[in-house]
Amino acid sequence: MLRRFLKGRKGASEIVGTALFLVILFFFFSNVFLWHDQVTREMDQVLADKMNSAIRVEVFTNATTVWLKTDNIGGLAVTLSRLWIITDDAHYYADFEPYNLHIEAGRHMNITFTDTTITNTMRMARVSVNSGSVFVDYNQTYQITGTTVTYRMLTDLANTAACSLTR
Amino acid sequence: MLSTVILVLIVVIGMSAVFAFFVDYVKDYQMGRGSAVKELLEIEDVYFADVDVVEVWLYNYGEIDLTVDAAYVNGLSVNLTYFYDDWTLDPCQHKRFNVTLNANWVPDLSYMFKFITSRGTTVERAYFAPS
Repeated sequence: MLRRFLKGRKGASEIVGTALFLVILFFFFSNVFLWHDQVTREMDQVLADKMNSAIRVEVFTNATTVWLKTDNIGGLAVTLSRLWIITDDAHYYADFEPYNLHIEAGRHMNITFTDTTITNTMRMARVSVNSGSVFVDYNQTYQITGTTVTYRMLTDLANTAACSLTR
Repeated sequence: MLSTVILVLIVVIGMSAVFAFFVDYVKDYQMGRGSAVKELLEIEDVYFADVDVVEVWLYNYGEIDLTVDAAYVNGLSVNLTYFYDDWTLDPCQHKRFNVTLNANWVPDLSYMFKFITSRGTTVERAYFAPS
């Protein structure tokens, strides 16, 4: 019975063809599976990096100057993306992306807003980072006296931290 | 003999069509729904501007460009318009959109904003209207 089955050639081509077709399909879909697996791992790494790159911001002020201390409280370096300055009347932002502002893990960066002209309003003409090494043009003015201004920092991995200043 | 040739032709053409369909299907999957995992969208800023208009900045921190497809506030579909260029955000791009609420916003009330991309990625955050 088994010998007859093994010697028989009837239907062999169909079996070989089907096997080849299944092999081709297997390689094709394994390629898709591997691609999806790789992409998922990449994005998991991005989200893990995001969780490990938290920041904290604190605002300090004296008579003429406001400065923002940004601490990297995570385990990875962070890159600053934008600083949002939020008042009752409007929301402004300073764009840091062209300047590649990195903060290493455990370090901090001071961002200073210089009050250039008017006493009661803070003119955002100049944002200096780390003793004036970087200047960001930001030609907006907003009322700072008698109101609360919220500063919200955004990193390139979309982590945010905020603090407020009331004068 | 002729029947064999015809049969071979039918099989080859049929299998080629099936293979082309699979290639096309997989390419569509990789460019479309399959790539949704590479999309990362964040609501960067929400500003309650006019009586029923809210300015929303979105930030794409994923690895591929995305297209904002729809917006919902408190579960209701709202009118969404772009402020710059179009609906597409490239990687690392920030873009402002204007959301027109179905009614005037009420101070101190919580609003749940939800944005959906064309690949089905959603981002949802709650914001309070200012006093």
